[in-house]
Amino acid sequence: MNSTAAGWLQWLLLVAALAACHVPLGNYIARIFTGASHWRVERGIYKLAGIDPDADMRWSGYARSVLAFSAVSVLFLYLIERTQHWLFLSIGMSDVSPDTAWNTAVSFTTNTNWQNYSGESTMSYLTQMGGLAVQNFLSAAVGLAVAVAVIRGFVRSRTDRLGNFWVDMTRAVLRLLLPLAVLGAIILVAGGVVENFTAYHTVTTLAGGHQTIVGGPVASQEVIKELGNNGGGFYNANSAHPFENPNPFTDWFEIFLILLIPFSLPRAFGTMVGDDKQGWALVAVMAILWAAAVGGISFFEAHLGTAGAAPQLAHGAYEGVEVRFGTPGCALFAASTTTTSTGAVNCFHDSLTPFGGGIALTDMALGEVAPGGIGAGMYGLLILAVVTVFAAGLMVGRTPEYVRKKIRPAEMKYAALYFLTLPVVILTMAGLSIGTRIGQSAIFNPGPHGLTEIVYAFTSMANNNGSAFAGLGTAARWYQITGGITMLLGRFAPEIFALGLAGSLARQAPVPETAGTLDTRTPLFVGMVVGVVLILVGLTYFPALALGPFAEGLR
Amino acid sequence: MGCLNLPRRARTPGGPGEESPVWDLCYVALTIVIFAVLIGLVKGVERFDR
Repeated sequence: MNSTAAGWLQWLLLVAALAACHVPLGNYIARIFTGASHWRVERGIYKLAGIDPDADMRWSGYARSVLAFSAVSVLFLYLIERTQHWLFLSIGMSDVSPDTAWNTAVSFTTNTNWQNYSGESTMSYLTQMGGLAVQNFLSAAVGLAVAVAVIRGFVRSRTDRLGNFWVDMTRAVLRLLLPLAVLGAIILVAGGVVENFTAYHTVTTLAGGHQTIVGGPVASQEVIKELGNNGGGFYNANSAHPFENPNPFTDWFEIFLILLIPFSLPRAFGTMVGDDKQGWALVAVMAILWAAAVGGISFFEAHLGTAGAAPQLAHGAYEGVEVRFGTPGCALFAASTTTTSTGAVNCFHDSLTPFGGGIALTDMALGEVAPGGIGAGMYGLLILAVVTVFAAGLMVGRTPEYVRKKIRPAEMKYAALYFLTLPVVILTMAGLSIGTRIGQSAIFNPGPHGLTEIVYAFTSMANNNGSAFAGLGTAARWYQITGGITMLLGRFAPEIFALGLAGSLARQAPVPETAGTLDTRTPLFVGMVVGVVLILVGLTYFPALALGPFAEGLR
Repeated sequence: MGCLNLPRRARTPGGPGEESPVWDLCYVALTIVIFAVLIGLVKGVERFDR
């Protein structure tokens, strides 16, 4: 079978598997967050932590809980990294430097997993398992909890209560992420991913050289890395490393894990609001944008007319690509990891063709809504749907309503603040890095490619993606600090505005549908949301895209 | 900004921390400041909400 046919087969199997899981998993997620009873182990956790699980929170209380929990998480993870030399399972690693420790603590707490280090030469087994992997679960659960609170804004009426953050987060971990992670880890181990606690071995090669063979509890971290849309690799090479991702089956399975929960959440939304068609419309938006991203990157990595002489001679843009997966496997993984907030990679994104890399950058600039990060994609798309009904109301005179809630100026202000935050953070930080000597000193590639690398870095960090274009010295102190600030603002400021919007919606009484109500379950609405997503991104990021990847590709 | 001018210590591979512990205080302070700003944002939005 040639690589193109294998690529199509891989894509079709992926679509079939995701379609098969969409309804049952979406229904299960809805049941998790609507059920009134608590598990015994959950009650034990609440008792231990002094939480009243039946006390619902206002949106502001919910937001403060998110922030308090995340602040403590950052500081605790920082402490582990800075003291790992004295802790058990240190495998001889020294403490992580303050710059890297802080950037990494912020990165894993915000679900970004941007990595300014090589895991195998920096982090002890305890840090990987007890620090980074724990945050892989918790940061994903925080995103999911916020999405559920935003959905409750549509479901509930005449109340200012959106649920209990601690209950939502605990349920997300215990009832969803942990069971799926255990199952997925067993499948990955069966597929050949390593899982051990052995010390590193130095072996002599046939040519007489020396090579260090690393081990580690990889499969158990790999599964939540993909499932929780985290992306931080156990090894520096991430999913291109043969111990993390040994063969085409594990590669396919990892992509499946990346997309599984984000593509199921619209079903959970439809079930929770009592109108499955609303969920179908949103999953259609996600599927269209994701399929376009996969098709676009695949086209430019295989269509070599614009890629230069070397790829044409090699019959593929193979620089930086694992030959085990080929360019179709690279394109499918790259599109899936950048349309979600995952950031794991199985090929080198800096080596993508200019337009292929430009699409990866655009995927992140979309705001991670197609299907987006775990939870973050869902609430991002809901806010885009709100913007769409408002714009449609202005254009064709329809009443701006969405899922029986009026979209008034107050809601639009929240939506506008949500969407302005990321471009402001990204373009300000990128501008400061380009315009200052300290920022310029870490730019290794001049010209359009260098610009793309900087814009890609801050877009990735602000959208909590975590994939890197490389070629930029982001281990420099300037990028460690600005990157950390970017990740924190990019994660939590939009969540505050999303929760504020939910609070505003929850206080409303539901409005009955009339002849003037725009039907948000139709293909027309799906097309309008896709258009709004692309126009918002186009207007905001087009100058940066034009001067970066477009200029490089057309040169 | 004083944090940016802190001296580095000599590298001690395999040993404990290689940089000035004052950096730890700087990063803890930075974390607290950013989260305080975010909690202030919640408060500000709450006021707008009313």
